This record gives sequence, structure tokens and C-alpha cells, in this order.
Amino acid sequence: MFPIAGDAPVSEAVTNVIVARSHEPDGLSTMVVWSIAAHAALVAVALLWPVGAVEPPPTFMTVSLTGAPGPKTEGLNQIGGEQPIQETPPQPVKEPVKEVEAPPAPKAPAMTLPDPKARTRAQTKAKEAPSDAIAPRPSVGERPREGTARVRGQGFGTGLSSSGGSGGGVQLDGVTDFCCPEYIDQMRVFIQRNWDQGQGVAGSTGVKFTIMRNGMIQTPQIERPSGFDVLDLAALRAVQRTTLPPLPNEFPNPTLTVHMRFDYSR
Amino acid sequence: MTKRQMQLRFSLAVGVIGVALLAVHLPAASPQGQQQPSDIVLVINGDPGTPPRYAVPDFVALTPDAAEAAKTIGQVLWDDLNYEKEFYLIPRDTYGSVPAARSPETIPFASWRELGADAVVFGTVQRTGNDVRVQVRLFNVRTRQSVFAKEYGGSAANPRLYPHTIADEIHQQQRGLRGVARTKLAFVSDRNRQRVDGTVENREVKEIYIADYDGANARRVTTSRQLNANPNWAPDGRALAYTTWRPNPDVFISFIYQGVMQNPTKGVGTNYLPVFSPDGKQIAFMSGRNGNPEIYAMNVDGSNLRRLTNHPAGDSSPTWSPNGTQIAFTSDRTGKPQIYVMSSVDGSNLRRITVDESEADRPTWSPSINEIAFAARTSSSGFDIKVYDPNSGQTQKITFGEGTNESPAYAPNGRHLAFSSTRSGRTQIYTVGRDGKDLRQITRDGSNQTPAWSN
Repeated sequence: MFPIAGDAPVSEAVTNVIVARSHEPDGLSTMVVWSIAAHAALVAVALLWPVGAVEPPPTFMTVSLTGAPGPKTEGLNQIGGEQPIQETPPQPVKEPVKEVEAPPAPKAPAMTLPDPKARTRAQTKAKEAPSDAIAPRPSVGERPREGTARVRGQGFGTGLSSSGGSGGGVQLDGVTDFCCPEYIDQMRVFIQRNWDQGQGVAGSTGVKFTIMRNGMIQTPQIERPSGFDVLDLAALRAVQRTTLPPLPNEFPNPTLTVHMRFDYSR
Repeated sequence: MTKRQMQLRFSLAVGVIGVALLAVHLPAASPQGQQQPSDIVLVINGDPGTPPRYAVPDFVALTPDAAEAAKTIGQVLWDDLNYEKEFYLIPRDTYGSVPAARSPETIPFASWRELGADAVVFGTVQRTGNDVRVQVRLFNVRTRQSVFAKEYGGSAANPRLYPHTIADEIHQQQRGLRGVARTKLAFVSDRNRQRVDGTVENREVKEIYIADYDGANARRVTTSRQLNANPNWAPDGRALAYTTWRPNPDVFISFIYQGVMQNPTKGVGTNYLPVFSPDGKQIAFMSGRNGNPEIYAMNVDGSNLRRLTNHPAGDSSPTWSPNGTQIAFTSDRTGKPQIYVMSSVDGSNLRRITVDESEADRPTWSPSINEIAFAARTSSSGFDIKVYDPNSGQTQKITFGEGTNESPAYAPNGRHLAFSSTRSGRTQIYTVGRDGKDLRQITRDGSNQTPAWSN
């Protein structure tokens, strides 16, 4: 386990400096000016600081892949070639956010073949398992055991984009030093995934929406209609269907408003 | 720094904050002191953009007996992340110039950056007896921050399960995409070269097998020593329906994680080609119970049987639409096999969808988008896989005349197809991207056919 230090709360650092500076013996008038400025700054910081606390970078969350055999969680329990498999209860993939609960105990075997002969045959043929089958050992299900999930951070972190800039037709308007191009690229990919572009008509729809700090999209609305209802609807739906990761820690504002133009080609 | 300089810098900081106070809509100062906009303007046009460049070096074995698993996990994770083409995976044989890291603190970000990596995976594997603990982190090379960090615990018996799980989670988290690394293929194989009991013909047994999506970890499911064909996955991935000859063709459902088998059609007439409805509650199948091949549907327990087609010509190969309201199938009613669509409730609203093919068979509806793949006759000796888009009415070719290509099956995310092909001699299973690129041979042992892709 490799712990990551959480980001130091920057508000504290800034205000500490300001307060400290304001106490320096610098002449009365200067001090008054500083004092006013410091107060203004404090109010500004309080007003503008993002509502949601800055979350620490993700720490490890533990996912146990043991458990009863299933489509996604095989754990120990390979399906044993020609060996009859005993019944075990389903085991959903554990959601790491919750405390992992111990899987239910395996049920008693219940082998119900319609043809009694078939059953006998299946068992005797077990010796002739194909080379890629595992050893014919009775599968009794993995011993249930306690999970160890201790989750602090959410799974979502910052996105990753190509160092070649945020490609794919993303244009940032008048922003030179945007903190988080990866997030913008991630947003584009997520929305594009939900966008049904093939509408058979060319055109452009402008949609405006606001991303809250937790990644929720609020008040998506058509800002610039294309003149074709189908295009406007498909663009709005793409935004409505999308769930985004939280805004990155480096982005200081409480919300980010996006004016997104959907370009349809025929 | 002199006092004067400090004052200057400080007043600048105050100035920025003061302006922000006066006009709240203007950007605030970021922790780094940069201004950040509260509004941005973007254009999206369907261009996939430049994929981020990922590096996946070997995982670090924390115990000597984990070395083999660590190597497997790194290689399989590279393959899995490469499969969806959402990332550009930097080839592993170019990592030689990058010093190996033993801990996240020693990751040589500068070297990875020189190699052009946007992201690098760092993982460790620790083995305790039969158990293994796998820790993995994904780092943004530019910011050097971890954007994904998880630990997995479980059995050491199948180390490939860990990279499959990690790849699916990274695809979901980074790209909002459902990956298929944990999905499975079911198919029919004669690989253990047994002979069918008690028949005059000296035929080889065909049994149902399942394997990981990449063909690894193949296991046998049926044990009938007869012919078994056309497996189809239940939507929850826990059961397979298939045709089995005992000795008459009949439909069976095997609950593969329970060892329970059911026979919903109960030997009434001949029954073939079962397919689960998207909600898993019904099967559609072909049956000759009333004289000639027709499409029927019933509940999985055998109740509520209903006949959906009624034509003197043969109807076969049913497949459900993603919402379960329609069924596409093959019919010979014009003399040559063609593909039709009808209501799954009562067979109404019948219409033919293939019009330009001399023969079209084995339709498969994509589970994720409105699209039907099928095998079209493209020469006297063979078929090719084509994809039909009902919205545009257009058909696109996915294979191009190498051998005969049949029995298409979609991956659950609709981005890949499995099919059988004779392009390398005996019939084998291949997968290919929805765009016809990235062909991969999945099976090599014996002959293998009629793939089905699990959810």
C-alpha cells in the first residue's frame, strides 16, 4: 500500500499568509490598507471557494475476486471440464464503495439432469477430461471470507488525454492555461459515447449545461437550435444520458458551464 | 527576497482577488494562481480524437513465487487495454530504455514522457499460498498523479482474471465504455476427437466449449458424446441454450455454474437453434413439430409456447432485437434464404430486410445498437459477414472473401464480432472489429464453429 498525501487545503495557506502579512509593522496607513484588503480577500475566498471540499487523490480500494463461481467472479472456482459442477449461489461483482459482505454459504449440490443415464455417463467420462480442463476435483465453492474494502476516495480521478492536446475537435475558446485539458477530453469522449450522430441531416446544435463539482450535469438546454428538431433532440439526449466524473481538484471554481456545439455531417 | 518584492507580489494577489470580489462572474484564482474560466466553448463532431498513449510495463512481483503471475498480468492487461482501440498502447518491447520502478515513488516519469506516454500503469503482485493480491495504479505522466488505484485479492489459479477486471474498470472510468475483457465466447468444437457412440456414420463428437474473449482458458461444458450445436448465452451469462442430438435434435439449457440442465422443449418434434430473449425469460427457436421448420417462442421453463411463423417454406435462425419486441430470422419463402423481421409477440408486421443478396442467413441483432449482422453468399463456395443498419438501410461488408465466413455473433458492446471462418484451413473462430479491422484468431485446436458472445 502506498499512501498518497492529500492536497493541503490551499485556502488556509492563502489566508494565513494574508493574516500574517497584515500584522507586519509597516506604518499605520499601510496597515489599514492591508487590513481592508485582507478582509476583502477573506470574503472573496469565502464566497468563491468551491462548495465541495477538495477530495484527496484516490487511495486503494480493495476488490476481492474470490467467491462463488460466476460470469465475472470466478475466483478459485474454474468450471471443471467434464466434471459435474455443484450448485453455488450467484456472486455479484463487489461494489468497492460499500463494505464487502461475505458471500452466502454454498448450497447443497443439486444436480438435476433430465436423463438419469446422462448423469451416469457424465460422471464416468470425467476421467477423459480434455487437456485444457483442470484436474477433476470436486468444486465445493470458495470458502466465504471477509472482504477488506476500506474505501476513502472515489474511483474517479482525473481523466487522461493525449499529450497532443485535447484532440477530437475540442476548441477551448480564449483559454491558454486551462488547468485540466484531460477532463475536457474525458467529457468529450463520455458525451460522444452517448451521442447518436447518424440523423441523416447535416447541421449544428448548441447545447449549454453546467457541471457541478460532483460531476452532475445540471440544466442542459438548447442554446442555439439547428432548425432540425431531431438534431437538437439527439444533442440534448447525449448530454442528459451522460454522467461525468467530479470536476478535477485543480479546477478551483464550484461549477463549469459548457457551451457545446454538436456538428452533424450527413 | 526583499520586503519590497514581497509586498509587490502580495498586492498582485490581492488585486486578483479584489477583482473577483467585484465581479463574481469573472474567473477565480486557482490554487496555482492561474485564472480559470467558469465557461468554456467546445465543438464535438464525432471525431474520435487522438487516443491517449498508455504504457503497461510488467507488474512488480513482491514475492518470488509471484514472478510468473506478474508477467502474465502485465502482458494481458496490455492486450486488454489495446482491444477497444480507445488507447494507443506503446509496444512493450520499447520499454527497455525506461528504468523499472519498484514503487510508485520511483516511477521514472521523465523517461516515460520521453517515450511519449500520457499514462503509465504501475502494479504489484504479492502471493500468499494459493492467494494473490494485485495492486494497480494508473498515473497521469504529465501531472504525476494517480488517477486510478485499486487492489484485488483472490485466487492465484487464474491470473488473467485480474487484468481482465482492471481493463474493464479502466475503460469504464476513463472512457465511459463498457469493455469486454471479462466476457466469454461459447462455441462448438470437435477438439477432443471422440467418436459419436452407436451411429453408423463414423462421426466426431461435437461438444460445447467456453473460453475467455481472447480464447484463453477454454473449458468443455457439455458431456453428451453426441452432436451439440449453436450455443447461445443467457443474458446473465450463467446459462447456455443449445441444440443437442439425443439422438433427435432438441433444445437444452445448461446452467453452467450450477451443473443443472433443463430441456424446455421436452422432445416434442425436432427443435433447433434456441436464442434467449434480452430479458432472459423466453427462448425463440426453430421447430419441425408441425411438419416443416417454423419459428416458435416459449418461456424458459417450457410454458407459454407460441408459433410465430406459418409458411410452407422453411423458417430458421431466429434472433431478438435489443428491446425484445422483434425477431429477425431466415426464410426460404422466396426460394433462396433471405432475412426477415417480425413481431416477437405474434409474428405480425413481417418484412424482408435483405434485398440485394443472393442468399442471406444467420442473422444476429446487435445487443447494443440497432444493427443486424448476417452471412451473405458472395461466391459459389462461400459467405462473407455483412452488417445491416436498419436506420440507413445500408449494408457493410466485414469480411472479404477469405475462406467462407459464417455465424456472426456480436460482443455485448456492439464493437466486435465473432464468427467462424475457413480462411486458415479447418473452421476456426475469429473476432474482428465492427469496422472489419483487427482480425484475431481465437481457436486453433480441432475445428470450431458457431460462436456466441456472453454479456
